[in-house]
Parts: sequence; structure tokens; C-alpha cells
Amino acid sequence: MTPPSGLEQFFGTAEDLLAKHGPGADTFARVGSLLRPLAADPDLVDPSRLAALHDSSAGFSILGHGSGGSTLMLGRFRADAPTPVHNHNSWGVICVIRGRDRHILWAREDDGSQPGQARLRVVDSRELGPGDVAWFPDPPGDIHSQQGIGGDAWELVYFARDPTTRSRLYFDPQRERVEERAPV
Amino acid sequence: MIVEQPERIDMEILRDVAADMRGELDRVQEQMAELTREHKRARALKQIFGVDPLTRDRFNLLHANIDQYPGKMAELQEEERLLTRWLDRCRDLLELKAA
Repeated sequence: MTPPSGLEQFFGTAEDLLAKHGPGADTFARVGSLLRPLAADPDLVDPSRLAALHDSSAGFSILGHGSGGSTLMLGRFRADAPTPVHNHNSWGVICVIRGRDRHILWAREDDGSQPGQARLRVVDSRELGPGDVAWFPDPPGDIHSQQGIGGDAWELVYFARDPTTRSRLYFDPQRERVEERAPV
Repeated sequence: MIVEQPERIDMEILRDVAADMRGELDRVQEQMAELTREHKRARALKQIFGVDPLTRDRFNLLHANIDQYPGKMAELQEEERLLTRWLDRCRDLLELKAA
């Protein structure tokens, strides 16, 4: 897929930053400031380009890939229900384009030795608005859930690698269950 | 059947109301012009910024004047439409009284 104009520069700069400084809070904050000019383009908000995400009412579209394999996704999160709690097999940097998003970061408390079982706890819950940037770390810290607040939340999510190519873990924190499924 | 007669309106009050509405319409039209100026300025800035990193403040400026522009303009246009309609009614009532 050929990235739309402007994305080549983003991918080049972001991948250089990550190569020089490694994934971490400072780098993610700088990547966030690179996502903002893209998020300031209202033309990105286009429901017709979305496919279903997480087998839920959320939608997504892959906007492009960098030469190093990093991936930019456009996501829409509905207010009617949160996404399932899931991982991405990658760190991710989020920048909200429009609307408000409840972003919850989870941590796994068990050691994963029991198939199908997982005990989770919330480690961070925050409300993100347009221009806000947040990130989640590499596995195993990449477990999160999202939900629009009072309407759809549209955002850009930048990953180290394409999250749609590998199966993911989907968690049910109440029942303390986990299952591996196709990513979309 | 009870037919409700329209209440008699004092001419002076009517003129006063019309003057206030005209002032309000002028303000709304000034806001529309200002909003359009800010929108054009933000679009120019967006082009200048390109895909360079943006601070939160600069993003806010673009978001408020590009993404939120159509909604804000639609609200002002609706206000303009209503004020224009009400001013027409004021004029009709004044002409009716004068006749």
C-alpha cells in the first residue's frame, strides 16, 4: 500500500527517532508530536474507509507502513460499548483526532501458565481529547481497551509493527479468561 | 371555539426589539467574517507547518479553526437565518401598525 502524501515524512522521521533513541516515554512523546499534524487533517475522518475491529463496533483502517515495518492505523471507537480488552504484540502511540476516548491500560497479574486463564488489573485510566497523546509499551504491557465518550472517538495509532498480521489475546477480566483470536 | 387575539404590541417596544435584533445580527455577521478569516489563517498555517512536529497549543489552534469550523459556521448561519426572519416579522408588524 502506498502511503498518502505526508505520511512518508512521518514514517521516516518516526522510524529514525525510534532507531536512535529506542521505544520509551521520551521517544513516544516526540512521535506523538509528529502525529498531531496528521491528526489536524479532518479529511482523515471518513467512516467509509473503516473495517470492523476486534469483532466489535469499533472500526479501523491501516493508513500505511514505514520502510522499517512500523504501521499507522486510523481507529474509530464507539461510545456504545468498549472494545474488548486486548493486546497488540507491539507498543503503540495514540493521538486523538476528534471526540473523546476512555483509554484503559491493563496489566496481567498471573504468569500465563494456565491456558485460557488470565488475571488482569487496571493500571491506568484516562480520558483523551483531540490532540492528546498516550502510549502503551511493548508486550506484555500492551494490554488495553478503549471506548468513545459521548460519541465516536477517532484517533491515529502508530505501532512498531502491523497489528493485523498476528493473532492477539482477548481478555475477559471479570471471568479471568483469555483467548487467542484473529486480530480483526 | 375560543379564538385568541394576538396581543397588542407597543410600537416603541417593537422598534426597540427590532433595533436590538439588528445589532445582534450585525454581531453574528461579524463573528462569521472573523471565523472565516481564522479558518483561512489556520489552513495557511497548516500548510506552513506541513508534517513537522506540533505542540498541543498549535494543534488546538488548527483543530478549533479547521475541524470545528463547519460546525461553528453552521450554528452562526442558523442564528443569522433566525434573526433575519424575526427582523422581517418586526418590519411586517411595524408596517401593519403604521397602516
